[in-house]
Amino acid sequence: MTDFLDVEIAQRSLGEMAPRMKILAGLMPDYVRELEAWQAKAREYGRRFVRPQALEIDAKCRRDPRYFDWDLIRRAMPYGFLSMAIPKSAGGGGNLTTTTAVVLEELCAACSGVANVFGAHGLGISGILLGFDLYHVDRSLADVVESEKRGEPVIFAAAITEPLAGSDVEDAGYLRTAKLMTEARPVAGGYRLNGRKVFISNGSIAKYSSVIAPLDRTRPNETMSAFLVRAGDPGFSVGRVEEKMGMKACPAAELIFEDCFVPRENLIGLEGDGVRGVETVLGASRGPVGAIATGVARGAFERLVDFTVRKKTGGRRLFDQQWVQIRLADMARRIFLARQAYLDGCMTFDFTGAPKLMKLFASRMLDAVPSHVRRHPLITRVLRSATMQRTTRRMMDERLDENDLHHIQQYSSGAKITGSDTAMSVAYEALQIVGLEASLHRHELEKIFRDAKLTQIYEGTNQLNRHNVFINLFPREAGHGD
Amino acid sequence: MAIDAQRLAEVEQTATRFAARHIEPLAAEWDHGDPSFPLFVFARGREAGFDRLMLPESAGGYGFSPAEVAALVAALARTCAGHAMVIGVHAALVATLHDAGAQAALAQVLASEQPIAVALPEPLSAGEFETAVSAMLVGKDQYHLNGPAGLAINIAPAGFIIAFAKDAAGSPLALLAQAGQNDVAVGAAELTLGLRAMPLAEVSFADHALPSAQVIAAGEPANAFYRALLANLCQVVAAAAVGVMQAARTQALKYMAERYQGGKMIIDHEHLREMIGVMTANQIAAEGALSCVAERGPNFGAALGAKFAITEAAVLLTTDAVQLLGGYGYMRDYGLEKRMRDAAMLALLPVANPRAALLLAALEKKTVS
Ligand SMILES: Cc1cc2nc3c(=O)[nH]c(=O)nc-3n(C[C@H](O)[C@H](O)[C@H](O)COP(=O)(O)OP(=O)(O)OC[C@H]3O[C@@H](n4cnc5c(N)ncnc54)[C@H](O)[C@@H]3O)c2cc1C
Repeated sequence: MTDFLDVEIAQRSLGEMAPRMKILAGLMPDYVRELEAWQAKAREYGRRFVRPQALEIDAKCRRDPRYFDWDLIRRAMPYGFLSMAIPKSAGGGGNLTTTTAVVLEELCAACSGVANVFGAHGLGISGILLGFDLYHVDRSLADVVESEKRGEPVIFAAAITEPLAGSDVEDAGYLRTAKLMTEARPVAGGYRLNGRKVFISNGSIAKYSSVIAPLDRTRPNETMSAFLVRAGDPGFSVGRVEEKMGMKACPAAELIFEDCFVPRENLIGLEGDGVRGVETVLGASRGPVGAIATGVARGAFERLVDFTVRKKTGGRRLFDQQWVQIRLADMARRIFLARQAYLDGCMTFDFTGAPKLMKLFASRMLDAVPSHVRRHPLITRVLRSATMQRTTRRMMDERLDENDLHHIQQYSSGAKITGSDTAMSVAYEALQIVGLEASLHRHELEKIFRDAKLTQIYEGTNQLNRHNVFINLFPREAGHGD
Repeated sequence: MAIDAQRLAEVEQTATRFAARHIEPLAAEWDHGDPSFPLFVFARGREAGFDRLMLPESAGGYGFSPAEVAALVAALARTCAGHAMVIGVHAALVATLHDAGAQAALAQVLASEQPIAVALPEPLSAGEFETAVSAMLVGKDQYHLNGPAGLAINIAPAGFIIAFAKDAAGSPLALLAQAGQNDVAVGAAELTLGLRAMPLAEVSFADHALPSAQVIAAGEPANAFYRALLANLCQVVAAAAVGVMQAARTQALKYMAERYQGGKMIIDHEHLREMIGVMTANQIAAEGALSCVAERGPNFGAALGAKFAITEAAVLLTTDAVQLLGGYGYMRDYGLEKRMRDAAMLALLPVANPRAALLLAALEKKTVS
C-alpha cells in the first residue's frame, strides 16, 4: 500500500481545493467553516478506518459479494454521515447536497466502494427529504438518527431500476414506453407491491428501501409513486447480490416483491408524484455523484503522485521527468474542473432548488416543532392529509422558478458526466504512467480503475445525462429520442 | 510477406475449436479464482503444437507466418485473452530464443513441459534496458546472480524465466533461469487487474549460480535480444487485443439488438449507433494495423507502434462496450467487464503505452540525427 498521507496535495483544505470557497469564506464564513468541518471529519474517517481496509474488503467481496463490513460502517457512527442530511428537528445534521458532496469526495479518495454505502443511503433518504414528508422524517429518518447515536447503523436504499427498464425509469419522456415489471396496486389500507428491482446499492443490507413503482403499469407517468419498504416485510426478499467489477464494498442487490403489502402510511409523498420525485431526487443526487467520481479521480491521482516520487527510471524519479509532470498537471486540472462542476451542480440545487423552500416561514415553523410533538396522532393526521400535501406541492410549484429547475438539471447532469469521465481518464492514465506494477491489486490503482467505470453508468448513464443536459438547455424545442 | 488466406482461415478455425474445447469451460473460473498458472490448457496447447508455431520447420516447428500467429492468438483471445497470452507469450519467447541462436536454452525448453516466463525490465531509450540484477562471473563458466528481476509474466511454479542482468562491467546479459530452483525466489502469483490466467509474480535472485550456457546473449546482442523479445511480445499483445475487441464488439452489438429502451431497440438510438460505428471503425483500424505489422516482418518500431495503437483502441472499445450494456456491462455474468480489464492490462504489456511512445520517439530521433 502506498502512503498517500505523505503527499502534500492530499492535505489541502477546501479553500485550497476550490477557490470559490476561499472567496465565500469572506462572505459566508459559517457556511464555509461548516463545509470544512465536514470535510475534515470525512478525511479523518477515510484515512484512519477506510483506506487501511479498502483492499481487504475488495478482495473479500470478490470471493463473496454478500460480504458487508458492518464494523467499518459502525466506526462511522460518531461522525454522523448517515444522519448529516436529516433535518435538525429530527436530530440530524440538517446539511444539504454540497456538504454531502464534499464528504463523498473525501471518502472516495479513500475508497469509493465504502463511500457508495453512504452515497446510496443519501439517495434512499432524499425522496423523503425532498418530498417534505415529515411523517417519515419523524419515523424512519428519526430511526436512522437514534440508531446512529447508539452506534448501530440503519441504512437506506433507493430502488428505481428494473430488469427491463433502467434509463427508462430515470426519464419522464421515456417512461411512457418503459417495460415495467413493478406495480403497487391499491388495496384496502394500502398497496400490494409486485415485481423486481435490480442493481440496488445497499439493497441487501438496508433496513429501509424507498421503492419507486406505479399504481398502474399502463399509466406510469400519471401513477408513479414512492413507497417505504422495510427489510423483513412479508413478500419482500433480496434476490441475487451482484458480482460487480468494482465498488465491491457496497453490495448491489436484486429486490423481489411478491404480493408485498405496503400500508398506506408507507407511501412517501403523494400518490402519482413519483416522476416529479425521481426528477427532483436525481437533480439533487447527480451533483454528489459527480463528487464521488471526483474523489475516485483524486484517489488515483494521490496514489500516482506518491508512486512517481518514489519510483526512479534511468536514475531519475518519475516525478522529475517532464512527460510525467505534464500528465500530472493535466490530471490535476481535470480533477479541479470536475470539482468545480459538482460544486456548481450542488450549490445551484441547494440555493435555487427545493432546499430553498426550507427557508420559508412555514417550513421553519414546522421544523421548529420538535419531532416528538409532530408525531402526535392529531398532528400526524394533519401533516399526512391530502390538503397539507397538496399545499406543500403548490408551494413548491409557486416558489421554484422553472428556469432554475432547468439549470439544476443541466448542472447536476453536467457534474455527473464531467466527474465520471474524469475519473475514468485519470484512473486509466495512472495505470499507464505506473506501468505493469499498477495492475497488481496490492497497489490499489487497478481497484480504482474498476471502481471508476461505475460512475459512468449509475445514476443515469452518461448518455442519458447528456440528453438530460440537452433537454434542459433547450426545454421548449427539445423532443425526446431521435 | 504474402498472406495465404486459406491457411489463415484454417489457423483461425483450429484456434477457435481449441478455445471452445479447452479454454471456454475454464476461462471464467480462472478469472475468478486465486491466481495460478493454467497448466492444463498450456499442456493441451503444447500437444496441439502451439509452442512451436513460430519456429521454422527446419527447427522442428510449423513455420507460421506472423499473420498466422496473430490470427491464432486473436482467435484464442476472443474466448479469453489471458489464456491466449499464456500460449502466445510462450510461443513468442520460444521464437525469440531461436532467432537469437540460443540453441542450448531452446533445446532445454522444448524438451521440458514447462512454460517460459519473462521478467520484464524497464526500457531505457532506444531499446536498452535497466535491471537491478547483477551477474558476477565466478570461474570460467558460472555466474552468480543477485537482486530483484522485477515482475515476471506467464510465471509457473517450475517454469523457465527469461531475465536480464548487468555484469560487473555494466554490460547487459539476457539469461534463462528456472523457477523452483534454489536461490531463485518467485513470489506468490499476484491478483491482477486482468489477464488473470497468465500469472504475474516478483522474481529475484539470491546468489543463484547460473551456468554460462544459460546466458542467452551478452553485450549488445543482449540489447538486441531484448528488442526482439519486446517486438515479438508486442505482436502477441496486439493480436490478443484485436481478439478482445472483436469479441466485445460482437457481444455489445448483439445486446443492442435485443435490449429495448426509450421505445425501441437500443441499436436504433442514433447516439448509440454512432458509438457502435466508432467501435467498428476502431476495430477495422486495429485489424489493419495488426496485419500491416505482420506483413512487415520483424521490426521493433512497427511492432511497438501497432501495439500502442491497437491496445489504446481496445481500451476505448471495451469501455464503450461495457457502457452499451449499462448496468449489465458492469456485472461479471456478462463477461464484458473482464474484456475491459483484459484490454487495460494489455495496454501495459510488454511496456506501458506512454513508455512505448517514448521508445518510438527515441527510434524516430535516430532517423533525423
Ligand atoms: C453497481 C450499480 C449500482 C446501482 N445502484 C442503483 C441503485 O442504488 N438504485 C437504482 O435504482 N439503480 C441503481 N443502479 C442502476 C443504474 O442506475 C442503471 O444501471 C442505469 O440507470 C442504466 O440502466 P440499465 O442498466 O438498465 O441500462 P439501459 O438503460 O438498458 O442502457 C443500456 C445502454 O443504452 C443506452 N440508452 C438507454 N436508453 C437510451 C436512450 N433513450 N437514448 C440513447 N441511449 C440510451 C444507455 O446509455 C446504455 O448505454 C445501479 C447500477 C449499478 C451497475
